[in-house]
Amino acid sequence: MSLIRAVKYILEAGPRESLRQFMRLDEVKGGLLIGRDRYGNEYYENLKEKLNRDRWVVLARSDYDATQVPPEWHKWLHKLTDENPSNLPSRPYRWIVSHHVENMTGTTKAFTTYNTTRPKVSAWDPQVKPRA
Amino acid sequence: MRPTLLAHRLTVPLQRSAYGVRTPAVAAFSTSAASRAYIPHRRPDEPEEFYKNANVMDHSAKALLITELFRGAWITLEHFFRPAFTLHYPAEKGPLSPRFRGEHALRRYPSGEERCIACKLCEAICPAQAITIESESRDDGSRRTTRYDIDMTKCIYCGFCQEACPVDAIVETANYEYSTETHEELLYNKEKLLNNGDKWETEIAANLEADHPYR
Repeated sequence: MSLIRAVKYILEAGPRESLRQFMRLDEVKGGLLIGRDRYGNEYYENLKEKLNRDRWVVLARSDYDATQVPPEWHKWLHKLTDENPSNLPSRPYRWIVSHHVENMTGTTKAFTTYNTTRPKVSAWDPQVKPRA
Repeated sequence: MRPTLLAHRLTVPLQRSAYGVRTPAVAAFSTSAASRAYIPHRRPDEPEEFYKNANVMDHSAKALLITELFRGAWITLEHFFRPAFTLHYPAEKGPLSPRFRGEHALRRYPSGEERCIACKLCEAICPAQAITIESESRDDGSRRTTRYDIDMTKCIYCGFCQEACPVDAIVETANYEYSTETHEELLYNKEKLLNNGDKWETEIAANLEADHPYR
């Protein structure tokens, strides 16, 4: 990062906010707060930044991961839309999963596959008849 | 009468803020406005400004004093003081196309009824033979799958399954962050795929809508 830009943004944000941003982004960036999702992640935009670096997220959790971004904000972050997701209904249908779960691989909650069909062959169940 | 270019119609109103001017996208498909694209300042076949009116002394001076080396080093030094191009990944992410082919999902109708009718066209077209389908008649007489397995480690992400699907049931979402630690976690079954659809439906619908004029 350039020194002048860093000093400008640190003065703009203040020491506390600068430290928080440095922990998440490895640098300090100033931008317009576009919105905040229900998990506390904050989404910023600054069109004066470099191309493709003008939208970013400051993730709320300390064990942050890219998959903690919910789908409606994922869409905005990847520039699939210019619409602000906080203005859109997050759950247009009742069956849409409202709680976003991150990638749980490596934990006990990781997905394990299973069979979704009935068994096609029934195993022989040996019944020993008592001798007459 | 000449036809008007619909692509040039403004789709997004201009917004002004302290952090720059929002330029409207040229078409729904482009991810950034044309004005923000990189434009090279000189054609590759065009001679450099210095050599246009240079005589033999100018050429010799450049060659002997190796000024090109220093000018090259100067550009490196300039870039040292400029903001980096590198994306800081979990926070900043590159743009994606609405046609991006990532993790698979099975969609539902707005009523909540699953779309898949077990026609097995996706299974037939799959070049990697990653899809396995079994079907049964439901109590109401409609045919539905009892098994819809995709081996994500066989899949080559060609997108033929979503092209083949007559009811837009199987789609590839824009999600590419589903890497796992074990092979087993990538053997998706029907429940996992339907759950993906329920999770990503807002984004899937938006991507299909953005892409539909081109289909």
